[in-house]
This record gives sequence, C-alpha cells and structure tokens, in this order.
Amino acid sequence: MLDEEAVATARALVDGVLEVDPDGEVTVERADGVVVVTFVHAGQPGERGPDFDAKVTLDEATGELVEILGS
Amino acid sequence: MRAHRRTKRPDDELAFSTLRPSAGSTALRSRETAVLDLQHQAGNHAVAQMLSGSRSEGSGSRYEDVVATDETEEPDWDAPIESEADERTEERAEDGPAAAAAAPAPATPAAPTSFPGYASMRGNDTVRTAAWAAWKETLRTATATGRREQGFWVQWDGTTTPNATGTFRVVGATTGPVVTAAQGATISLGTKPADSGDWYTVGSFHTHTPTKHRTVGRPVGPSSADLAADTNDNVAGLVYDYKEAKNGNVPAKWPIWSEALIYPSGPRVRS
Repeated sequence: MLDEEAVATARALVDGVLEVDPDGEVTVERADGVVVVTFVHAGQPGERGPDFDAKVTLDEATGELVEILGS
Repeated sequence: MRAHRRTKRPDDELAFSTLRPSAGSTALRSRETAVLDLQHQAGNHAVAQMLSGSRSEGSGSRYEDVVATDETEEPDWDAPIESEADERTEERAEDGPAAAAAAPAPATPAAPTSFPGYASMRGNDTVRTAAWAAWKETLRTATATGRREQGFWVQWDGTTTPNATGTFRVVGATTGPVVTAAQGATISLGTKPADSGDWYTVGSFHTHTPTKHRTVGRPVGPSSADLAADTNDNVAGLVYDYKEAKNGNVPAKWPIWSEALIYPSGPRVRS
C-alpha cells in the first residue's frame, strides 16, 4: 500500500466521523504490519489542544481499518 | 515576618496623633488637646484638618505620624499603594537633591529561591478542589452535541512554604470553545498572569473531555501541544483526564464517571 493510497483510504474512513483539514499536514508511519495515517491538528500559538484531528491505523497488507482515534 | 501597615485616612489623624505624639512639641500638644473638645461638635474630619495644620507648622512634616508600627520590620512594598504616596514623594523632591539623596532607597522584595511544582499543587486543597470542580463541570456539560474543556492558572503566595501546605489561588478560570463530537477540544488560557507582589504564577490546569457521546476513542494525558504550551509558559501543567483503558487511550462511549487523575504536563516546577 503506497502512502498516497493509505492517506486516501484514511481520509475516506474519517469522512463524516471526524473533521480534518483538507489542506492540513498528514503524516504516514509504518510499523509492525500497520500503516498509521495522522491528520495533524493545526493549533493556535499558546493553545492547549490535541496533536491530531484523526489518527487512522490500517493493516498494511490489506488496507483494512484497524483503529480510528480522535482527540 | 510581614510588617504591619495601615493606610492613612483623614479620620485617622487623631488616632495616630494620640498613639504617637510629635516629640518636643508641648505647645502643639496643648493646641491638640484644645481642639479635642471640638471633636463632638465638628466631627473627626474637621479636627483632623486642624491637627494636620498644627503639625505642619510645628514639625515641618504632616506625615511623620504615619509610619510602620514596628520600625524593626521591613516595609511591605507590595501592599496597596496609598492614595497620598505620590504626593509625599513630590514633597520630598521639593526639599532638594540632598534630601532626596538622603532618603532611603526602597528595598526590592527578595524573589523566592524555589517554587512549588506539580506534586505540591496536586496535593494542595485549594488547587485540588478547584480541579475537581472543573472536572465535574466538564463531564456534566458534555452532551451528544457539544463538550468543552475548562482551565485556569495557579498562583502561589511566595511568603508561604513552597509545598502542598502553602497558600495557592486559582485565577483566570475559563472554558474552551464548545466542539462537536467530530472535533478535538482545545483551550486557550490567555496570557500567563505576571508575578505580582507576593503572588507567583506557578501552574496551569485544564481538563480533557469525555468520549461518552463520541464514536471514536482518543489518547489520554497531556498532548505534545499541552507540553509545549506549559514549557513555553514556564509553569508546571496539570491535566485532568481519564486513566488509560488500553495502550494510552480510552475508547469511544467510555463511561463518563470512569477513573480519572491529574497528569503532569511540561516542567514539573517553574524556574
């Protein structure tokens, strides 16, 4: 699964569940057979808040959803 | 030991004069004794004005009676400023450079050498009570359509011990914006209150929100943004949140009154 595919899959999975910035920063990490796609939260200076708007964990081989975390 | 200080009011002139008569002024005392008879007729204010004029003539300073009751104690420079303080300073300046040079320079209160940190605040009754109240309100105001964080700054009285038995107060209590189940919650505590007098801003506090009405779980404890904000503010942060259920997270629909605790965030103690 390419990074672009993982991001597209993750974005489709959170649609309607969590608000993510369509133009915001997205990171992709791989470890232990999963791909973790993180939609980074763009906080304001001095703000106390979450690190991400959504974190989606996918099975690297199948692309199936493992977990969605909000913040 | 804190110096006793009293703000002078016109009606106090008589009281101060009675307690601390001007030295070497027999004639002045006679005049003051005479005008005491007028007290019941003219009232304290009128008598005070007369006495004030007498002292100005007899001693050259109408403020000599307004001193700390214990001259061996340090003055309390952080007490509320008397309304006549500026006037007094101007009068001294008019005495000339020599007089101004002879005047003692005001001492700067020594800064504390240590501050209470996360553990002290968490163990202090005032902070703990305020934190618990904020956590309860956070949980009770969470609904299917909205939830928000709460927070405040923690200040410590620098004349008290820098541990849980010291004197603390919470200031700047605020709430974050109400967010939907699809959004992450945030809070801005505003600019950190500057240290003022004996009060030092030593901590920040905020709550996280429940997942009871959400379809996703979330991590518990302070976020990197929380850590960064507390580090930047040079305060020990306290975050009220659930105890983790698994892998540092709580799941969706987590029971609202589940076990919770106060996490540390950022420095354990301010510098």
